[in-house]
Amino acid sequence: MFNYAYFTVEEFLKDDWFREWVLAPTHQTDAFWNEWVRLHPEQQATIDQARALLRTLEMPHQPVSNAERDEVIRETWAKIRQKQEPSVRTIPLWNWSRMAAAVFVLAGLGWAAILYQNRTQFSVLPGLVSTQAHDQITVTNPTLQPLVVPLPDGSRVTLSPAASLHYDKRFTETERRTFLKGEAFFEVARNPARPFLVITEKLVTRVLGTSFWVKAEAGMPESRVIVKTGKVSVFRTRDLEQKQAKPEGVVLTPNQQVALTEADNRFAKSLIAQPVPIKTAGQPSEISYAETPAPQIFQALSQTYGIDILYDDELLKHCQITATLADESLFEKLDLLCRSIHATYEVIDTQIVIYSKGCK
Amino acid sequence: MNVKPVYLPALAADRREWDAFVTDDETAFQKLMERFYGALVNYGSKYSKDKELVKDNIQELFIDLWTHRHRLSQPTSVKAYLLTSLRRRLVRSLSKPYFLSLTDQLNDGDFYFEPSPELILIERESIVRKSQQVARYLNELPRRQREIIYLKYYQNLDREEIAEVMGISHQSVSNLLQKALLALRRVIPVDLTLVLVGFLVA
Repeated sequence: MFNYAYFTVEEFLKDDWFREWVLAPTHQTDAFWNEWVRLHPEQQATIDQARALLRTLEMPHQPVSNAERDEVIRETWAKIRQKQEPSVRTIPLWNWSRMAAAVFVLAGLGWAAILYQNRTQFSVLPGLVSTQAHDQITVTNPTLQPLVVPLPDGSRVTLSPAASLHYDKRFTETERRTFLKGEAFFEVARNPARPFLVITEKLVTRVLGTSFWVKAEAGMPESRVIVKTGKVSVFRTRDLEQKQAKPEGVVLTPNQQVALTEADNRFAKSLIAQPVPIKTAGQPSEISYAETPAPQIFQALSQTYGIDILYDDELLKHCQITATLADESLFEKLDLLCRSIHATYEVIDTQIVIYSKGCK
Repeated sequence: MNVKPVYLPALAADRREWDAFVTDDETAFQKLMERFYGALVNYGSKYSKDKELVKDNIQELFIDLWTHRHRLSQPTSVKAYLLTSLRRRLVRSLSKPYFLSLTDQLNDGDFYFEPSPELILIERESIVRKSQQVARYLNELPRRQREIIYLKYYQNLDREEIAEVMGISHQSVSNLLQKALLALRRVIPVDLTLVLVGFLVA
């Protein structure tokens, strides 16, 4: 049992409860000690001595506020996380035409392919940055060139002209939320623990770490997401706002796209116009087949593009193909293969179906 | 009859949190950072007046601790360990010519005592006066003795911890305290001597 009535100066100096009162008083310590001193006037002198000493030992310094401390600690965590996931998926510029980006979100058809092919040059220019509130950042690209914006988590966003990006400098503990108007290319630092969200007027694209395009012009009747590499989920912005626990949405894998139109407000999933190989490293640019069973070739194609190709194995196993496939597009390759075995194909949703009467 | 809130012995709590932190517990690390940030800022400010430099060094210390947590062993005193680590960093970054040319000079830490400005505003006059008196006496001590008093009474370190932070033996800590005491006895008036004697030999 503590009995402050018999405490010496020295004992007060070492007492945490007393120190807390003198050095960082709170309502609680103030109330306790003021009352205690009132009831023990004989200890007033001792208390004063201890107080004087302790205050002296404090020495001149800027008092450290909790706000400052918390800010420093928050920054520390941000830097730690950045250090843990420095692996932004970097894609060599020269190779972008083949393996670039992963997802396009767009309003209006046909934009993606055009933009995709034209995006060979971009520059790092000072953007129009306006910091609105505390740590709320909005970057707008006022130039006619793409603008690279580094994010605090190590991700990078390349804003197309007139596009604007809004985010909280610290993101949140559990999610990295960004708000986009217009079009941008995202390279997201991988961090499965903190998903990266691109929120546009109608669609939310959620990724764990990949690179992708987002295009969301306000007021366009159709929004679209196109995946080239990586895996993303897409759902309605409305559901996010309403904090829907399990929003209705779609998961997209490479070469798939989804459209959300204003007319019927439904997700329509399909293949993109020009699928690109999902793996290019280590793959020969030219593959020759000599009297190879058709299923084997279709299977290889399926793997290369990450697309399901459906066919009747029984019927096709006797069809042999001799061909050399190089840098044709997927559909040119399919045309070539199908013609050689008198088959046809059709794209249904996100799958390719081969129709054949078989070979003798 | 006074009821005092029950405090977990600080060292035990530190150690428990340290153990959790080295095995990836982020909450424990957060707690450690919160607990020692103030002490680190204060101690660091004795080595550099550049507050941003001190903050940067504290932040780097925290980041390195987290990065290398799996390789850290349990220090006897977490606080002494952190203060020592911070001092090493500050001395290192201050000795870089880059910093010398700017704002700061490498110093050994100036442990000068002075009642804080806010004290004068909030304390009774008698306390302020005493405080100023004590400061004057303390400031006449050699730097090492001032440092020891600072570590012992402001940072509340025990003898072992002081020895660790200052890089000297326990015996040297005792000797330094004794010296500080003798020096003070010669210069200070009687009423304060009694207080300070008790306070320094403890």
